[in-house]
Amino acid sequence: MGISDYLLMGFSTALSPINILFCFTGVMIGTIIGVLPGIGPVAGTAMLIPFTFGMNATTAMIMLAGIYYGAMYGGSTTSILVNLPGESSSVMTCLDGYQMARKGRAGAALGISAIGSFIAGTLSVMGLMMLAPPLANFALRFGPPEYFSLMVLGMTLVVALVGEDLIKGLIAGALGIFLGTVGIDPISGIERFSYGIPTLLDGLSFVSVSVGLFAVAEVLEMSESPSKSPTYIEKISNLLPNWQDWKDSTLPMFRGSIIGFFVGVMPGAGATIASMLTYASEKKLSKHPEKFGTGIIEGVAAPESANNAATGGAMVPLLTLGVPGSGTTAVMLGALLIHGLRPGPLLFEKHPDFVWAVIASMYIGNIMLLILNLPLVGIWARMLKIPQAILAPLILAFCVVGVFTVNNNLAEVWIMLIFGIIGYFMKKFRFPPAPVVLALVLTPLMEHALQQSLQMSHQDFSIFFTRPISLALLAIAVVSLFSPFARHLWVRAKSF
Amino acid sequence: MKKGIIIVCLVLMGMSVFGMVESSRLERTMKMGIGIGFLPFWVSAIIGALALALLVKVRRERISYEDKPVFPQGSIPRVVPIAIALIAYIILIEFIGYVPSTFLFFVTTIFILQRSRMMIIFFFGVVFTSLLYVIFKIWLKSPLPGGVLGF
Repeated sequence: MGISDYLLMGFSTALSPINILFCFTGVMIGTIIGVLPGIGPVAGTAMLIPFTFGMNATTAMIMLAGIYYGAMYGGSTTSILVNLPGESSSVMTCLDGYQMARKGRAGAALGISAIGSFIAGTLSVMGLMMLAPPLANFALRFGPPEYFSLMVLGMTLVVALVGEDLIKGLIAGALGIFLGTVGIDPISGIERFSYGIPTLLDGLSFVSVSVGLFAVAEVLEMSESPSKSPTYIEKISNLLPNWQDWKDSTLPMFRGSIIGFFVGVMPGAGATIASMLTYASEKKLSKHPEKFGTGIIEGVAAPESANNAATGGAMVPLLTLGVPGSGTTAVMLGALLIHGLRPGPLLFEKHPDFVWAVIASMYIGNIMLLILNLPLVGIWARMLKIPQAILAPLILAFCVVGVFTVNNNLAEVWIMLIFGIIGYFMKKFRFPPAPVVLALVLTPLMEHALQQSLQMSHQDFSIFFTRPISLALLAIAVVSLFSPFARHLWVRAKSF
Repeated sequence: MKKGIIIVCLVLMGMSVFGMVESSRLERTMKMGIGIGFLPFWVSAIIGALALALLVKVRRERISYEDKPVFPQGSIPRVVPIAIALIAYIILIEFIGYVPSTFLFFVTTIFILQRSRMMIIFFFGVVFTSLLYVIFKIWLKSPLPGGVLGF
């Protein structure tokens, strides 16, 4: 079967009424999450995992992916109308989007943002479709040592790129690894750090930890100050860009799509870095760089295309290698494992119906988002008026009931609460929570790969350095970890 | 911020020692390969080393870790009651069941966050309790804690 046959098969599954319904639900919830400042896509996806338990894995993943890329669309609305990014990936859109709105061009900014997001989203799904199968084929050569090295690389890239301080990122990652060792060891059957608590025998519930670290912590931080209904630009007209707008934004949209996709493929980089890189490169390429930040359409088209393209890119390592590159994809990996699917190269061989249905649903979801975002932009903007006093208790109660329903176990709700408080303090002291979740999900797989590798080599650690792919992956991991130190030393040496 | 980070580093070092002591009770090597204590032991050691490195960095760098308040003024009196309400909710949900505990939680937290008319608060309490009930109990068919009242 060729790609087109697989895609047709994917569409036949994705276009079933139930999948269309949950794709729509996903993109709509994603848009709401994107519009509302505070709750991000990681918290949103984690909170909604309990929702997916009654679904089959395909429908669940279609909905969760919809939330992910839907949030990217929604984030631009608040950036343009309020100068308040709904998501960190929409920060760059504020610079020119809000200025355009102040000049009475909010409609054009929102229009190009939705169209750019649609084009980039669609192109990135095409990229995913082209890149994923050969990468999955290549990854079939991987044995346990390569997998171990790949997971080490995934973790180090996320740690190195997420957050402002490498040491804090490393501590968060190491904590996640430690937490991932709790429970019964699958090989020896001996329990670790569970202290006779039955809930801990299966390990720390990934849903409890991620909902706590992201959603509960976010709400606690949100409650710190009284909410003020933001003043936003209400006059929105002419959503369709004019001829000049098209001319100015076509190339930035395509460049944004390409940069965004490839940055998204890289674990750890994600949509925020993609939009920043694209904005910077557009400014460099522009004939009038001084106009950036004053309200020009290229400044909206490029970052908005990039952050949407990054979501398609981020699905590449998740689906082909089973290594998530961001907090949201880590949550998706956890959800897939709960549904009994193990992402990786074999997923394309064993479950092509699942993979291609998710890919096809992303095309459908992007069309839905374009329809949802252009005519309904006024409704999304009005959502900003929902007071925090309503939103915060609703999210907290949703988290408590949602986590309880995972296993009908109140102990998991307590774990969520503990991690909510830990997450709140992590936010206060600027420790990134994403590496904790990523490491928590990957550690059991990584430890298993480590044990298998050492069994293969009769406990000789050199197995990781004598196999070329494993060595290359570890070398990249080391370079990514030490490059900030090297850069720091280089700057210091130059200043002498 | 600086004092807070120092406390965090000390807590992390304590956790590291605890992790190393606890993992040393487990086997670090086995006939078939590494033991179950191998990874937690070395990860605990790494956490300790990193906490020490962060401590040294905080003490040496004055600019990035200047003493900005970690908690903005007036934030603690808002966050602590919400956290307490959440704890009370989790305790109560087991004993008095989903419906009364969720209603009480909504009323309390809305009241803490925004002093509005009690009628409005009760209205939102009823609406949200019913909304979550419909989603989880009726639509998703998930069992909710019944408590002594049975609902």
